[in-house]
Amino acid sequence: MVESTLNDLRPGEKARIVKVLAKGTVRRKLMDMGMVPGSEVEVVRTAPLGDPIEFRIKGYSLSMRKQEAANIVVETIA
Amino acid sequence: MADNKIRVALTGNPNVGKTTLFNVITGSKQHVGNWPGVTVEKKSGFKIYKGYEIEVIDLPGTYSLTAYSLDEVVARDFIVDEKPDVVIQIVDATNIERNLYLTTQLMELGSKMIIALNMYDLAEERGDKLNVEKMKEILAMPVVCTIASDNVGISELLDTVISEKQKDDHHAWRIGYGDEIESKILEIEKVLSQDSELASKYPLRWLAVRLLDGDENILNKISGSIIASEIKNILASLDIEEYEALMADKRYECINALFPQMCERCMTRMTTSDMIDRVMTNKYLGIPIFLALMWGAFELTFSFASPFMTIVEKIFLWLGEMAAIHIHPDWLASLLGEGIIGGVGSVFSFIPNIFILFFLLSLLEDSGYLARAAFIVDRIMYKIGLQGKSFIPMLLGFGCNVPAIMATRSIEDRMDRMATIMVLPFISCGARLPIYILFAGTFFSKNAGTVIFCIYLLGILVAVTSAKLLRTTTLKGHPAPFILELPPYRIPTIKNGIRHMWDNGSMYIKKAGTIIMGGSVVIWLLAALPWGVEYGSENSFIGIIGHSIQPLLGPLGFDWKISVSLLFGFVAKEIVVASLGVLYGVGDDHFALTDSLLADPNMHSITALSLMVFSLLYMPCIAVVGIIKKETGSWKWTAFSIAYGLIVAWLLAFVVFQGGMLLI
Amino acid sequence: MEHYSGRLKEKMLFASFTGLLYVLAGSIQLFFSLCTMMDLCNMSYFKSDIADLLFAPSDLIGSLILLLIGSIFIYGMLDLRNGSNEGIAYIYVGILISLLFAAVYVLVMTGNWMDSYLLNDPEIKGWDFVNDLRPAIYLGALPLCGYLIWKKEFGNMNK
Repeated sequence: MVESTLNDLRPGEKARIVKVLAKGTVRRKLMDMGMVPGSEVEVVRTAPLGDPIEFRIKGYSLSMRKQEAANIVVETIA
Repeated sequence: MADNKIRVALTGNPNVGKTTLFNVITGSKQHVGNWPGVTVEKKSGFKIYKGYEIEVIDLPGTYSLTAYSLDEVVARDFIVDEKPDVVIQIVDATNIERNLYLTTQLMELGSKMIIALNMYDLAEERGDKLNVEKMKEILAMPVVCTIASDNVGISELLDTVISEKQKDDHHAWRIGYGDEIESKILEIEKVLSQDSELASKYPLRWLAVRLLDGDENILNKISGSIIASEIKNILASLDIEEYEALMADKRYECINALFPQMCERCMTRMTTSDMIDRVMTNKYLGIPIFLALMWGAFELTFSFASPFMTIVEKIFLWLGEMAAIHIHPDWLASLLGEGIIGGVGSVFSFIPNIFILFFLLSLLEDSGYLARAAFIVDRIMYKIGLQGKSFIPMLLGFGCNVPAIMATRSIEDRMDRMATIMVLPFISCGARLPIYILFAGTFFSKNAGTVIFCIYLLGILVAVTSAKLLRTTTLKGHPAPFILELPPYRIPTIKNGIRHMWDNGSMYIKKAGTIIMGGSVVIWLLAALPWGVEYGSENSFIGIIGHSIQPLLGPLGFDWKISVSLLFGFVAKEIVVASLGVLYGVGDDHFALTDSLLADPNMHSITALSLMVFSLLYMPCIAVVGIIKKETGSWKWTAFSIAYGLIVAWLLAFVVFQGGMLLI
Repeated sequence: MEHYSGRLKEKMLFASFTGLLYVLAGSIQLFFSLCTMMDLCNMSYFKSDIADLLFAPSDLIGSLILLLIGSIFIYGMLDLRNGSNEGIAYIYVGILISLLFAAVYVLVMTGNWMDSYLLNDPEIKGWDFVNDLRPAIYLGALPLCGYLIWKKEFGNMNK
């Protein structure tokens, strides 16, 4: 298992969230949307211009910019 | 309150069909207004059902109640302060897990709750297996399956509302936060209970949980209490950020443990929505498709609306003529005809645009494409200090700034929205084109097209630069984080579209309309007084004001005639041309105006250029001012927008004129 | 997804035929609208309608939209030929968007018609059905057939 941040994953890869490094409102918003340690995330695709990224989490689609994704530490799952 | 009256609050995440359910329940008995003191829209409605008068309040859609946004504060305060009899949470059956996060927070507010499990047909179609009985049992609250768009489950829901109201007492499922946190909750609860007023108003456990969650809004609420300092001391000794994360974890842990018992999710099937998305956000086709759809929306908003606008204009023109013929004395006829009817006319002439625009926006939003559009263009918009959702308003601005500013409502973050509203007036709307055509055509005949194109480019450039500038000064900071749900594609309903269109259209008439009309009447008075002058001529007040501000505009190369016509431009930019016709004494004759402009020694190509630049940038028309006031809810921002526009216009026109004079 | 594969050949044929027609119509229109624009540049601007020059590339844009629709169909066809069932999605969206634009043009046409007939607007006097008839409208018949034939297969989001 390799630890990395969410923005480094490629479309199709799955990962489990280890830690959320964001602070303040960003952190709160991420928690509201289900981005909490233990959740499984799959990278669906990047936007045509390369940013933001679309993820699948808890059965729905969520998009965020790379800079927000960089705050989320994950371990990849095969 | 009488026994046959029930107050029901509707809550739920965005995109779960809350508005549809609200419309289905209340039908046409609706009232749209604002929450006191804020610009968040408040909708309420009535339903007479089995002898009960049920009042339904549609709370803003939120993902949680942590007071992250104004919407959340509004929703929460309503439940806590107004204590509705029953709170209905609409839960998207295809997305139960995340929806339950809000449920865990709602339960702590201590109200009677009902879950409306909406769109359960979609979940079943997808292959999910829902165990509704188990859900009722675990959550200890009624769960009713609904398909709001097909009117399914509504009477069951209302029956449940009535039976809940009659129940004397309810016990809610509550989340245990673990020994450490629970002991802190108890400790804080105990302190809070010393203030009996607080204890009678709020559920204390909820207050304690919110305080441990670092909720500043709640901290303010108790700041007047005798126990405020004691609470602050307890909180100061704790690492609140740590607690906040721990508590969120606990909520999700709880959901994770219970969710599999309520629902077996089918993970493998690829849905139609996923397939559509693959095309719509395709690396190569995504942007062209986006641009094509935007062009289509633009074309419909402004081309298809044009006959309706003509009808409206003709009606008001006819009314004005009627007034002129049948009303005596003449001054009254002129006031009614040109002032009031003209003013009402300019309010109504935007109606076709606005109605069609909101109909299309509603279709785009309900279909789920609006979120994808933001997803696709966010990269570009972020670079200039705005965000993905700012794009559509900017595009609409080329047609008319008024609906464009109204379209910024889809931007949740207030700072992002303000920045978008403030830069929008620089986008050159259709009404400014007649000015460019006149002056570019007269003074740059060969290169008129290029000149006009450059003016449009200048508008975009100023908008972009202003966005950057605002972001480093008044609206400091980066655009808000872009964390956006991409809801599944759905077929939008015409009914919702029409309702959305009607709500926003009538809102526009009521709110912006009064300002636009007032402004029009003031301009009329200025043009018609003092007694007996020719309307809008040199001797009228507006002529006198034009003369007196001329020194200010002199450095830009404008004489008093231009100054006066620019004043008229406040009503609507296209009037600039008409009023120049009056001032040069040629009336409506376009060619005569061209000739007299060419013959005027004060006018030459550089003045024309400076005038076009100034017209592009200076204060948008009264309608835009009215709508800015309405949408920002602040005179300060409105004044800022006007002042900023005037300053930028003056400076750039100054540079163009003086620079041009030097070069010659 | 198995049930899609049954009539794959049919769909590939449909997609390539429709796609090629749209691309063809789009290319022709693009060529002519570019020619007209070049020509306009040599004329006096004030006489010609400058609003037309700025916004109207409605023909230029129209041609680009035709090309776009065509390429969505062809993209889908190529995907299907490569054995990827996702191609179906492109055909579905292609049908959706071509019908959408046919509707847009029909509405614009209705608007113009109302302007000229109901109001006798002098600006657009002599409005003629043919003036507003765009390739996107009559070509729309093809995807409309496609939609009617495969409605059920595509339609599991019609609820």
